[in-house]
Amino acid sequence: MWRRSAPCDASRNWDYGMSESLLEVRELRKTYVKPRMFGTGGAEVVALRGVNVSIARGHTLAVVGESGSGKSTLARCVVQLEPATWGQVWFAGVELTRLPWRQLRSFRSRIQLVLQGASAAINPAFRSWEVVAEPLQILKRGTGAEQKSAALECMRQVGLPLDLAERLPHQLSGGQLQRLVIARALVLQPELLVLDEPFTGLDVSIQAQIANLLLALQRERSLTYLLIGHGLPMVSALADEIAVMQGGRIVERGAAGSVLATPRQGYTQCLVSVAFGGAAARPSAEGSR
Amino acid sequence: MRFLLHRAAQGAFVLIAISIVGFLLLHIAPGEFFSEIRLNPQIAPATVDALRVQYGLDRSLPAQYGLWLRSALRGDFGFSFAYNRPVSSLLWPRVRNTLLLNTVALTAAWLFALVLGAWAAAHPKGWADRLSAVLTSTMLVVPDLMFALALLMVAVRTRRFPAGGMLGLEAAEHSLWSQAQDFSEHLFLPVLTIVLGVFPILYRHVRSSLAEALASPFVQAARGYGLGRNQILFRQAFPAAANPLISLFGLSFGLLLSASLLVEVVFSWPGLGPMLLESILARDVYVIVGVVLLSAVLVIIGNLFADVLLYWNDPRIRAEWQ
Amino acid sequence: MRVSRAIVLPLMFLLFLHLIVLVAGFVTPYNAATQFREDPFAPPSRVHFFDVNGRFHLRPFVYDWTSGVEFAKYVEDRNRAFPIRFFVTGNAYSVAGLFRWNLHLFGVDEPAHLFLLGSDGYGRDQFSRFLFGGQISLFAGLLAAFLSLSLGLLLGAAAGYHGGALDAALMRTTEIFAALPWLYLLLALRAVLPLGFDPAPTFLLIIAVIGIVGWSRPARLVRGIVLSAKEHNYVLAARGFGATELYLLRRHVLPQTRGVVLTQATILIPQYILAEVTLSFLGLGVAEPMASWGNMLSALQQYSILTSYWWMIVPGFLLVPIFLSYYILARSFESRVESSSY
Repeated sequence: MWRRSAPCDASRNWDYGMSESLLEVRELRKTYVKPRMFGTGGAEVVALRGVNVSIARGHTLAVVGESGSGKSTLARCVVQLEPATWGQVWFAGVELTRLPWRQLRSFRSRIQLVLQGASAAINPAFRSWEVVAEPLQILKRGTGAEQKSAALECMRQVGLPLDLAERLPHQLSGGQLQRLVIARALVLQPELLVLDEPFTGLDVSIQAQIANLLLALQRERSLTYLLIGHGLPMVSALADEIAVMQGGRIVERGAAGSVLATPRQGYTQCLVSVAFGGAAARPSAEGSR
Repeated sequence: MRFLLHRAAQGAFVLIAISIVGFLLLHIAPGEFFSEIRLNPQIAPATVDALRVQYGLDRSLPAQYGLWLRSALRGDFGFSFAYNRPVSSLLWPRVRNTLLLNTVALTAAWLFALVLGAWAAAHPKGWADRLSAVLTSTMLVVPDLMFALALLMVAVRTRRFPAGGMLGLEAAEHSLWSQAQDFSEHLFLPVLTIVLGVFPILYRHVRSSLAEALASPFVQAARGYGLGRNQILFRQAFPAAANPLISLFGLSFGLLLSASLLVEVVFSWPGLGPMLLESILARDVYVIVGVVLLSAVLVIIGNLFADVLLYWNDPRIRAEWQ
Repeated sequence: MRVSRAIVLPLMFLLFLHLIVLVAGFVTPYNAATQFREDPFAPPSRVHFFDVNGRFHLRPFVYDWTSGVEFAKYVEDRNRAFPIRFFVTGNAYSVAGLFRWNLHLFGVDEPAHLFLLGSDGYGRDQFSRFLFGGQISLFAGLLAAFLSLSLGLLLGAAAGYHGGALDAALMRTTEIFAALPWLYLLLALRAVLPLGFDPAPTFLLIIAVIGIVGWSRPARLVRGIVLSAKEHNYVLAARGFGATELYLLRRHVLPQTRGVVLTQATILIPQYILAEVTLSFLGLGVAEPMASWGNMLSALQQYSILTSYWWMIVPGFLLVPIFLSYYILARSFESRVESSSY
């Protein structure tokens, strides 16, 4: 699974150094074969059809779209959890898609993915602090005691009371679990966080808390966010830029305010009207920044 | 139809694999079996030489297997050294007897399991459910061997039942009706023993599958429409619970054959079990392979039958294979 | 793991039984092979506290069995009482194969014999043979189960984790094993091995055979668990942190097989004990004069013994509490595994 196959278009010899983008995705394509239940072979699914995005350092890009539009695949390909069929992913001036596994490892701590569905992303047999400390254990950083204290510190930063440290995941609420996976993603001190559906499945009030937490963390740690979601309201509160995905490609992109106020594509218009009921103005996010 | 062929092909593959392994294992120490047999004064040297030619005992192993396979497909499974007869002539009556015993036991065990299991599932925590739970737990915990010996003791002590064998000594001279009576008298205790061993397993699965089906949302919905209890049981719950039960039905063939082996030995029922035992003690090679293969054939046929039932019962499987 | 009474009681019983059986030489008054030809088929010795005059004795005693002309018809000889003494010296036995000793927990003086469970056709004490037989039957079950579970865990985890050709090969092989009724398979495998009667190699061979018969079910179960465990998101997340496959196996996947392995153990061990008993009963297990619960019961195939000497069947019924204990353990583990399954 970790064999590096990194096709790329050699003719595109862009001079990368000038841009301030922390993350740049170029012509990312991903096709995979969905295995059939009985028998061999299966249908070919094209998940990404040439996606181009870039995020400047310290900014937040929200990628929204319906289920099946390829958002989660994009997230996984960006973080190199899955090999792309085509295209490049550049991070801080380095092409990740070309790196061999060993060198990729050192980049792992700089980009972290927060998976969709916090409860599924946590081993139910691990204690809370062990969940957060696991990346340190995998990368063998520090002694056991150091790892534990680093984990506890991260838990504190995401607002989890320390008495939860020894608890098991099933004893935590949905909102606490979401904070836990964010803490886990932070423990390696990343620069870029990719968050896949961080608000889905949470109460509205908890969603607001998580949104505030993410904003605070971004300020404190100068984080860059790639937010994936299918609900506009929360995402719009955080995003500087919004990209709308449909059928594996980006159909509209722009600054958050303009996309929400004057959506050009039909699909975006649907999303906005569903989210905000008509051509209502974007809820003022200035105050929460 | 394709489904059946696919399953039958799988079964055939398994049989071939078993026959190859069996053949190999029995020839691992090539000198051992046949040298012992040659030393046996009861076997005429002429027989041994004829066999060597027929089965190509001097040829290479794959060639030997090929010869054996060809004869086996014609129904000729080799030669029994202990009985001095072809294996097939020995085995077919035994298969018949084992089948008789097992079919009766299978039907009885499943009937009891279905009826009692359904009743218990329909009246959970009722007296029938709790009593059955205790009884079946007790039955599970007592080994088959003990049931067999205990019942044998009852037979000998009370003289109500024959203490073994399949037919009485003068059976052939009597009328058909009294022959049937005699046969069923001999059949009763062995069947009872097998049922005692297998029934608790079947019962537990029937009860739990039905209870699960009865608790599922769509059955609750049916109840909400006011459907009667029996209707719910038979039209809704059973078909839903049928899949795992049909699979269990397929598995029960193997279970029953194992149980019946022991019962046949203890009750001197002339089936495949005692034949296997004798042939092992006598190092009667071809009989051993023949019996083992036949037992696998019986299990595979049983599984095929269960697969047919599955196909007939579950529209999802039909859809997939069309 | 919270321990409930449903687990502690059977476990204590089984531990106690295994310990007693291990020190069978000490606990039993005689060895497994000691014959008293003058007392064939003696009924269990009646232990008395009151003598012929009605006086109570604190120390129990027995009378010697005497027989008349008729074979195996016994009457108590009330003329002489033999008190049961404790910590007596008797036949020598070897302790764990290391050294020999001859202290026994209890016994009676010659010429009386203490047959707590009666004697068999050769005048051998059934109680002693039962405990010595337990060494064979119980530990055959344990060791064979260990073999089966190890094989199943190894092969099932490998197949489930790597998938592909290995997985397909494993599934085909388990199908082949599943096509044969287990007792037929057991006997067939036994048939392949020499019927020679050296006890130690025979014992090991039997364990190997029984263990091989039953590896397929644990393997399939482990494979199922590994297949689903490796798809979980937390495994994906750990991969995202750069975890190696070995780490994932060790920390996330294999621990989930614990429940299944434990439950299978409690199911397989009694089945394997029964397999050994059946093999010995049929004459294909350990041979005389070694005792196994199976060959103690095989004498009962003769109707005369079955009806006249009821104590010969008692060893078989002593199997029931053992199976009951394992059954209770299995049920508790099953419900635990179900409730905590992820």
